Amino acid sequence: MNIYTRQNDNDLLKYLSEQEINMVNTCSQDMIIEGNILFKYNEKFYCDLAVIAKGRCEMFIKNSIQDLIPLEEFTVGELLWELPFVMGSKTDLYFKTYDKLYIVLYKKERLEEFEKTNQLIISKIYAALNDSLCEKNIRITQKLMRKT
Amino acid sequence: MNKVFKYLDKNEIEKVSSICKQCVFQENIIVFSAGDRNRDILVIEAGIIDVLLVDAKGNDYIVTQLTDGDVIGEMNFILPLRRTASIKTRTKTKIVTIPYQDFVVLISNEVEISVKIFKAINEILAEKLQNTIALIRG
Repeated sequence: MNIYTRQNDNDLLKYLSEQEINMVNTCSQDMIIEGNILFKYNEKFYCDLAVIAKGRCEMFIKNSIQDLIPLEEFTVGELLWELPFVMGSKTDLYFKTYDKLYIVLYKKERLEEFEKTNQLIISKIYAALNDSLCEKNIRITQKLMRKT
Repeated sequence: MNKVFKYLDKNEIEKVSSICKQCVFQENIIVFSAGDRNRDILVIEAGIIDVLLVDAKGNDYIVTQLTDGDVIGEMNFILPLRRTASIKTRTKTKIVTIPYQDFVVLISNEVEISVKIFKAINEILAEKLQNTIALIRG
């Protein structure tokens, strides 16, 4: 969709100007997740979005016999956890870190405040989420096709 | 209910509707084919359509069926992709088309509408992703 132009490497804030990024950063929080752990998203977070600042992680689901199935790997600049952010519901997604994972966390309720206070910012953020969800839909559908 | 318009108020729906086109297709009509270059969003107002892919032997098979309120082509709207499947009417079907170029102009000029449309599209895409993950989970 040709409305906004990419300005930087952050998949969530990619359409924002420097000034707009500074505004969004007032509601972000830097976090470090220990290396070499497996965690379930909704036991650690609730509907928050994150962008990887340093490190990488891998997303898994569990099948009916509780085996872990790898879905995707994420690295610097990539967006995590659009599904719970958008659906606002429980998700059974698991994440494995390798080394320490440095993320920037964006609280759902703080981001959604921009719907009232700065619609251009939230429009650009939702457009970025559109892109990311589309790309994930394509990659995960391809994975399903390979499986069947 | 049109899922793309779910957050729009009455005035906003009128604005977007002013650029939409309505078409009625008889049964067994190909609306578009896999590989077509088109970025319009289609919403089924009434009727049933089959989503078709082609197997290794070149035969069409039905991936899914869509009906009233279902949205087609939202990924083509977001990313410049060719159509990934073919769409064929199973019954007489009324379809609302949201033309890409006109829609982009409208939401470029109406930031409040863009917020509501993008939010609705995020929900459609997230639901699709969740369904695909469920299929992988088995």
